[in-house]
Amino acid sequence: MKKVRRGIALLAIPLIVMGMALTAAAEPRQPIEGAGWHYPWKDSYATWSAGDKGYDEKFYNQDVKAAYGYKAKDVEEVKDLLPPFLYEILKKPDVWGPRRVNVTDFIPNDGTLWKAYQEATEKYKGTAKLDKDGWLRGYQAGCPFPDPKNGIELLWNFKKKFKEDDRILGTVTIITDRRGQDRYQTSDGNLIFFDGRLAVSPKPLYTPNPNNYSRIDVYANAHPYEMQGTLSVIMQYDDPTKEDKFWLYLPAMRRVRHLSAAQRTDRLPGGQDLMWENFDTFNGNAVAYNAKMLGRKEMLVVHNGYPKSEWIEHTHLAGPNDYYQKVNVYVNELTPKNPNFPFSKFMHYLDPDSFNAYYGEWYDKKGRLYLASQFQWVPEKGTGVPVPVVMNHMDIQTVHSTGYAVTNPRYNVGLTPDYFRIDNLKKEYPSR
Amino acid sequence: MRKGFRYLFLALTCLIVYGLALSGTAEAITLDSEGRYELGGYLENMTAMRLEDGIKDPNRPGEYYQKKGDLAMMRNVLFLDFNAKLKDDLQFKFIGRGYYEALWDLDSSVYQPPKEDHTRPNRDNHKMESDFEFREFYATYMPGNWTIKAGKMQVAWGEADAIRIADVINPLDLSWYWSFPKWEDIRVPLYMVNASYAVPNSAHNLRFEMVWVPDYMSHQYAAPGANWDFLGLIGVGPEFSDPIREQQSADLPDRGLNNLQGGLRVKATLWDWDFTMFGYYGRDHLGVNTLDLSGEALNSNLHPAKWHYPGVFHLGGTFAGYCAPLEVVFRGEFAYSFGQPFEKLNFSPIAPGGPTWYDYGIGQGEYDSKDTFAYMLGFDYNVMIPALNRTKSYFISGQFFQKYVLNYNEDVRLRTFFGEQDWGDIWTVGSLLINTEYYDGKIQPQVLGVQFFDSECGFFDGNITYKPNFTLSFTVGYLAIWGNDYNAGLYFGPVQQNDQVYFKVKWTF
Repeated sequence: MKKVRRGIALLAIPLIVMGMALTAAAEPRQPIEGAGWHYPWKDSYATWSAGDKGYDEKFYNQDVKAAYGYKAKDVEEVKDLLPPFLYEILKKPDVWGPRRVNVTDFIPNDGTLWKAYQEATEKYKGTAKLDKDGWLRGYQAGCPFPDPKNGIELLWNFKKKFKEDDRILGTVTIITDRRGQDRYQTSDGNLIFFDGRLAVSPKPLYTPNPNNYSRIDVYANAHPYEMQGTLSVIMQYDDPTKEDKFWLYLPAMRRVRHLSAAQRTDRLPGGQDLMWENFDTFNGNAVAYNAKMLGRKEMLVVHNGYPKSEWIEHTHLAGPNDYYQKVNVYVNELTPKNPNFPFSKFMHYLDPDSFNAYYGEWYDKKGRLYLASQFQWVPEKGTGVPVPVVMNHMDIQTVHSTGYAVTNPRYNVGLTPDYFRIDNLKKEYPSR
Repeated sequence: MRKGFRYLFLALTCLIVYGLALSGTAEAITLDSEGRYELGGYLENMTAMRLEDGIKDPNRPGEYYQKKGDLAMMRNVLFLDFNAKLKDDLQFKFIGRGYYEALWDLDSSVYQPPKEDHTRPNRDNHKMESDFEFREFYATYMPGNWTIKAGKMQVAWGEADAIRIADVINPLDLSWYWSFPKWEDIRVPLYMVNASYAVPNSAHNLRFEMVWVPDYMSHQYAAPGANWDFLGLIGVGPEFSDPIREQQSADLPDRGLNNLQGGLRVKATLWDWDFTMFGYYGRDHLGVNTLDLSGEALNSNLHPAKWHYPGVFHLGGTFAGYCAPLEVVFRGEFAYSFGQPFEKLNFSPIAPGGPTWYDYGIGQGEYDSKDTFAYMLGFDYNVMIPALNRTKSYFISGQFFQKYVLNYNEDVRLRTFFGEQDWGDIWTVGSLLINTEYYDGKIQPQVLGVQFFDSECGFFDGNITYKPNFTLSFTVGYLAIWGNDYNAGLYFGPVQQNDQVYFKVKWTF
């Protein structure tokens, strides 16, 4: 009996020690000094808001299993789990500012709309097809290619990712140059999708849709004053031959100007690092690129991040101290068919279930990394729809960045195409 | 005040504006956390130096009211924009603007009388040196698909830049620079009701708009002898121009509910292009004068004339859309105007062998009304030239205008302001604008050129703006205006002696 007791004790002691060690390793996120909500104006963006539905409490305080980067473990240990640009940024806090990867457990997708997305994937399986040009036909909802076999299918999975039907998304834009000068803009980025709708009727397709829209976006600027009341509206069509339509209401001109769709690679006003082509990391026409699926790769990404957007004044990139999880992402390589396009290729890192993008990298004509994007997601409470609480776009070559910190997201509010008409937008966003 | 002191004043002004920009946080003043009551605006200093002599001094041969090297402008502007969103469907807007033109205080060598004077005509005039007005104040009520605005405001119709064809509702304040200020800065707001109805669920985005304007103002002009007094610039001295302006004022139509001005505009999207059709009846903003020897003129000796501002009906349309194969936005507008008034030029001598009524700008005993047709075709083209600019395309915008006086009788010359001597029947204008951005939008160069081919006049405005942040901007530019020996062309020929370099500093909050 004694031998049995001794044996149990011998087994129990190491187990207890190991358990204690594991418990000690999982600890709360350590703060980074200066990280917070530093909005400079006193208005409706002054205080961060979780939005109408908010986020589950479990996302705020996740147990950190390991931390890498600023005042933490050497990022070399996880180099293979990071995209090249993020490794560079973490290695150079003196250039890009403090940034840390806090590794936490992956929290699987859940929520009413995540279930609806899965059900729609099953229900409409096989109904969506690619035509000879590579354009998706017959799509209604869910993931069109649950088991993508090539790059173009993967690209369409991204375009029909698990997402909201519509949204009103408040964002603070922080534009930071290589000397650490910050410039702020605030805007609401609102949109409606016309297919893949899961929450708001009409669904899954928005009907009637006589203009064959696939998506309408508006960006309504609130600050600075010179941009206040400026409304940028972009319409995209479910038609490979039809260019996106851009128009702009300028209060100083008191009228609408049409813009050229050829401005897709122009940086947005105010020196932003974002261009229309890399909205949502990638917003190009699917038939304008050759797509090559490079396979799967385990990476550290922000799948279930920290809900409250933060940034550090005078340093690059929002969300400097977020929670990261290991995800076996899809990697897609897109090369433009137009030889005069100013980029040589685009690398895309996608979630294998929701097909939302974590990272995007644009390479210049000489094959050098030029622009990069990182999206940091948190699922909306109840529905599970991913909210990009932090979006970063950066110019790696000139050390310049634009961080977007989200506040007060409102998803699936029932927007209609009429919402995006100038009279109505001026009602929502007072202008001259 | 010593002339050299102006540089110190300029430096101090810049220092104050720069200090404001850097002190604390530049912010719009929001009176509540929901942003329903907001005050924004800007403080701006515009300083310009003349590169050529201005108005000839009629009393001192060889002398000028403004000489090369003089200050042409030092206008300090406070612009306030207040918005109150009282309810989701009810808003109030107040826009106020005050200014102090320091030119006369800083440069005693400049002709001083305009300092204490005011703009013309006399109704709703402004002091030349400093003033403040609530330029616009209106309520906007938006029940359902309706938007109804009532109050004092400006309404812009049309697709053209730099020249107006469809933008016919508000007159212009031509008492200060008008070649490069935004139209918003120089439109004269009027009392009006502006109602629009957006047809719900319309596949073609159908929208109807109605404007009713129980108000009237003509264009506004600078006081005699001021930099932009184009009567003075074409050789009409203050003692002669004052009676003209006074008579213009006296003959202005009354404003009131019985003053029928208004129009309707219909907007629709067809084949992804936006089209509008409009009809607008309004009184002419320029006015015409006729010889009046009845003795009823205010100054029958110097300006025996009567001014008329008859109604003109404009019927027209606009279009704008993107042409994908060419990667160009095309836009255009046209207007057929019924009964536009023109002075019949009066070449009769006032006294045998002496000057003619034409020399004094007085028409015959009646004016003529002619239909006119005008159109504009324009393009906006963005071209990315990575070797020159990797992050921003070059925006190239060109416009071509023509206007015809229909059924023009060559035997009866009319003051059309077209042609070499202002009595032609065709008007052809071209414009070209190019701009881009460098260094994250902090450096913004722009060039704009406009040429009135028939009147042989035009202007070039080239400038570079430096925006170190979103609240502060510095602009340095060069403005050249040209014209022919007849000072032909309504807007630019008469003011051709106003070439200048300018500097602007602007702080927004």
